[in-house]
Amino acid sequence: MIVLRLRGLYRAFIEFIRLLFDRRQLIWEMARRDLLQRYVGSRVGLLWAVIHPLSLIFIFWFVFGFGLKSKPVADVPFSVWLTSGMAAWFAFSGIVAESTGVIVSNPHLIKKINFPSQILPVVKIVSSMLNHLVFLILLVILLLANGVPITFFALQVLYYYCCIIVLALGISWLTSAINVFVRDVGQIVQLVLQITFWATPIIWNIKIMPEKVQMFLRLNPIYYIIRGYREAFVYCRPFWLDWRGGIYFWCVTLVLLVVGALVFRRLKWHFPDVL
Amino acid sequence: MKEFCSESAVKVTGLSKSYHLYDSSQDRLKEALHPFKKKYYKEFYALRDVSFELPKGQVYGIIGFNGSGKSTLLKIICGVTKPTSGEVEVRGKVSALLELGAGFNPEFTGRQNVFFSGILAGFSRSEMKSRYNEIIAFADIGDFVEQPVKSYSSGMMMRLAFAVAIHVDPDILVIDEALAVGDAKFRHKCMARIRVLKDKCTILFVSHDMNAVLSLCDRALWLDKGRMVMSGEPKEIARLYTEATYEGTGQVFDRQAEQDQETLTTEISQLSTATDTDGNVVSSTLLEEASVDSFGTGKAKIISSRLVGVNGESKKNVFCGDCLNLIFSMQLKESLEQPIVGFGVADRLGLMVMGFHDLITSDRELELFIPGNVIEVKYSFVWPDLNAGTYAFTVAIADGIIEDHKQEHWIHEAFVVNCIREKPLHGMFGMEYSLDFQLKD
Repeated sequence: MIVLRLRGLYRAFIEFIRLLFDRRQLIWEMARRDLLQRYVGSRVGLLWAVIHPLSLIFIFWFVFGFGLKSKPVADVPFSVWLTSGMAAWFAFSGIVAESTGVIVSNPHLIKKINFPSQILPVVKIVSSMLNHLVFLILLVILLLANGVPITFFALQVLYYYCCIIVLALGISWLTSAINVFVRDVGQIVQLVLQITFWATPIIWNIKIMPEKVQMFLRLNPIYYIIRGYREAFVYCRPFWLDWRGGIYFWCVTLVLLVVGALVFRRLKWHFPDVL
Repeated sequence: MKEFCSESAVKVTGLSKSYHLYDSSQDRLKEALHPFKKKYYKEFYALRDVSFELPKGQVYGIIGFNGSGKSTLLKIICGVTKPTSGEVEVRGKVSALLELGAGFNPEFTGRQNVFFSGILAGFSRSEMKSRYNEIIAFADIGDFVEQPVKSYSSGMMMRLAFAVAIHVDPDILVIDEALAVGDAKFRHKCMARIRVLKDKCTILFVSHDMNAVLSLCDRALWLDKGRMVMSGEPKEIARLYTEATYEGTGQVFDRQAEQDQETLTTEISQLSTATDTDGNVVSSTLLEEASVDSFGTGKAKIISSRLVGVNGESKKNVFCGDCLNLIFSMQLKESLEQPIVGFGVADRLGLMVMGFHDLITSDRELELFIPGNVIEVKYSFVWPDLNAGTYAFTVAIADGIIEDHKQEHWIHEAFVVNCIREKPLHGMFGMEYSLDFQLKD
């Protein structure tokens, strides 16, 4: 029974990968349009993709680094430490926040044509890559400006970015599908993301918490990613050192991915009728 | 070739689609995720046990009144929704024109949407580039291609959507009633193109235009309330379907006629009391109130009118060559010097296509025209070769001579019939003709 289930899941996974490959042109085109729609028509266009992260980094640096005089962490300036964590967080939260409404906002595709709606969150992932790239470039500039060496460990960001994508995809399938039925999900997701942002050690160091609370905080899969980004750029530590955290992260993430995929698949056929 | 034909492009077996009506979409969610599949809905069947097979290269017409399940059937064939039970086999790439601008993003320009639809259909950008000019030439919407689709009129939207749908090499082309919004010229262009496409692909065609179904389709399916009424020869189906259509509206006409009769008879009784003072004035005002579309001095009243066949059966659909009787009865209130009866047939634009009026001269007939009598007039004729469409009958009784007469009672468009003709005409009338070519030396 369980073997059968697993085989079904495996087949569905292969099917999904094949779908991504077959419709790569479509995904690319939709992601391109997503960006066009966001930036074309505004005065400075693509510059917004830079202004947003820049202002965010500045505000947080101003409040915490400059205002509250946060100390340098691991011998790098607070701004660098902050930005490396924020890059990971905004990549994740951007995908989830954008994807939640992705079914609801494309009724013309869902209702009128035979459209593989499961690729819509993937489209958001692809289009969010531009933002993330900008964030990473800003981070590199900050690193260089502060004389922090960039090591080969920085390449680990690719692994951690994969972590972000898989985690965000599972959650996005779940939220986007349920949002079709209960529109409050959009608001709830915004709220939960806000809370998670403050509850995850992103702008504050986990070390300020007592040991017991730290254990608890490590259960948050997003913290694994945040720390990973910092290890890649700031601490320069290989990702396999924390293999326990890695296994825990992938267990949680894969469960979320499977749950998200199953819920999406079950609800998918109701979309045209509800929208 | 034979082998090719015997293969079916679409095969539908025992297809049913029930929609679950929920009190709220939360109930729907609860049910979809319920571990023990608890039911939260009321069931509504949009389709019930529909089966048909469509061989490759055929044109299949689907007809039915609104809400008969046509669109649901097309949606299932296109893969937009899943059937509740039954199976659908579709072989080949489906290009659908389900509703206006299906799949178009209203915010994007026509050009962007054309490319997007192409990519959606599995083409690459460069492949679409090579087709783009052809598509735009067919759609013929001018500079609007560079405008957001939301600013399009429904006609423009349809033009573009149709142009895209036929240029992505579909194996199966699905056309919903969308074509109906095009102007006559474009519709003609579409029909011509569909005739060309017939050789290359299988076409599913939903229409209310019986003449289009007759002239295009190899086979037809008639759906009513989700069930198949019949499937087969388009001609037979079209005939029965139009009859059913006019049964609905026919009743309305009958009821209207009854109402008119009622008001008329009451008027007559009222008139008989009011004539002592000033009959004519009273009658004309009363008539104006009775019906906008009937007028006259009121010395005679037409109380009923109908078209029947040779066996006395009521006729709502007429074909060229049908032997028909137009029967109308009138009640005389005052004597007429020189009665004239007549009727006219107007097309849907109101243009009088035929009109006749006849002086009653024989003494035997004139004797009937005594106040109080109810006289039945019967015109027998053979329906001419008129173009397909609806025609309205106007009936009248007058007094005087042909050149100078007073209408006693004229009922404008007393009832409507539907003329069915297999091949639509250019013009109003058809005739028998032959065509001959000779080499001239």
